[in-house]
Amino acid sequence: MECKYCGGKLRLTDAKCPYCGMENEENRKHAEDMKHFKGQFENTKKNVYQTTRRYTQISVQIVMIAALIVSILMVGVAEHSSYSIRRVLVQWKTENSYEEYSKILDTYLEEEDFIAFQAFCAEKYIGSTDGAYEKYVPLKMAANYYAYCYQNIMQAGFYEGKEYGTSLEWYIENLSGQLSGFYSNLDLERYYYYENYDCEQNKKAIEAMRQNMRYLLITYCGLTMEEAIECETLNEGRRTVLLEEALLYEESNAE
Amino acid sequence: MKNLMQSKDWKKTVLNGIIVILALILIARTAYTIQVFAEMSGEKYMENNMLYRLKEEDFGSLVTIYHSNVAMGYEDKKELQDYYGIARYYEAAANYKMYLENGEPEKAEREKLKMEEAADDFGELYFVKDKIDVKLALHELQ
Repeated sequence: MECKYCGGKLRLTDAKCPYCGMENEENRKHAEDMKHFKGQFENTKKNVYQTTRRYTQISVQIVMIAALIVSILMVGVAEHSSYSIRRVLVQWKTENSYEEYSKILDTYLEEEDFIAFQAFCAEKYIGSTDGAYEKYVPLKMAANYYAYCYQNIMQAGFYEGKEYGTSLEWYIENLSGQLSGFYSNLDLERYYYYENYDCEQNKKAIEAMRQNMRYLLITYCGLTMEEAIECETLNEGRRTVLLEEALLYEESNAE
Repeated sequence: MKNLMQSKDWKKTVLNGIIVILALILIARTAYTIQVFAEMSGEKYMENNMLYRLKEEDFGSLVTIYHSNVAMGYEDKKELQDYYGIARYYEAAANYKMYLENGEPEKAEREKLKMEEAADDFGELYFVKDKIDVKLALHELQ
């Protein structure tokens, strides 16, 4: 550009003409424009920052709300599936503790502690995991019934006839039903598809369970050895009658 | 502009309120879920349950509960030691009587040893031992 007074060459940033010393009006306008635009820029910048900050805050709050809702739902699902979760965790431990657990189970069998054996199998989900525990499955089934029968024999054998309690007849019927399950599970051949189902340890344990059940029936239900053996082949109805005769007769004698 | 700002503040306050309520719900649900897990892993067989069986003199059930607790890893629970002693004693005593009456003296002797060991764990509930002895008529076996 040129100076309007002397025609000398000027730059927009020159406040005065370097040749005639007169004021450069274009520079003044330029400075005012720059000041104006700078102010506008600062305002816009400020607005952008404010808006961004506000939206960031709201976004963070919305994300937090979403995260909380998801967490509540997950806790709800965990609570609803608590049984399955616990079962999976216990099963996982059982699968990885074969050496330890099989020793415990073998000790129970050695000591003929079939109730402890049953409780351990039930709590550790023995037999519902992989094949490592297969040989214990037939014993677990028989021991389940053994434990039920034990409880029923103790309840029926020491029945005290509470006014609002369960009747002796109910205990006897229940015992007879549980005995059916027990006797049918003494047959190891039912479990031929399990590995080592008929190993020596299983045969010995099954015989001990059978013998102990006879002893329990003799000692606490008042049967004779012949009746206890006969009990194994009777149907449920006839077994109930046999037990009723023994227990009810014993009770009326006691009265 | 002022109205706009007030409106934004109001929204922020509402969102903060929702966050606080949801956080409280989450804490309550988590606490409840932890309780559910704890109960699932054995609390069902705690003292009240065993006391009930004891009052009912349902010693057979006490024995099965004891073994379940041991299997679940609750063998060392201090508050249950007396009940465990009773369960062990009853189980051994019932087996002792059963073996002795059916001509198995060796097994009966083994159970007698278990009875003696269990009798030391009765604690304050020692009087229950006499009840069990009477119930099983152990004096008739001596």
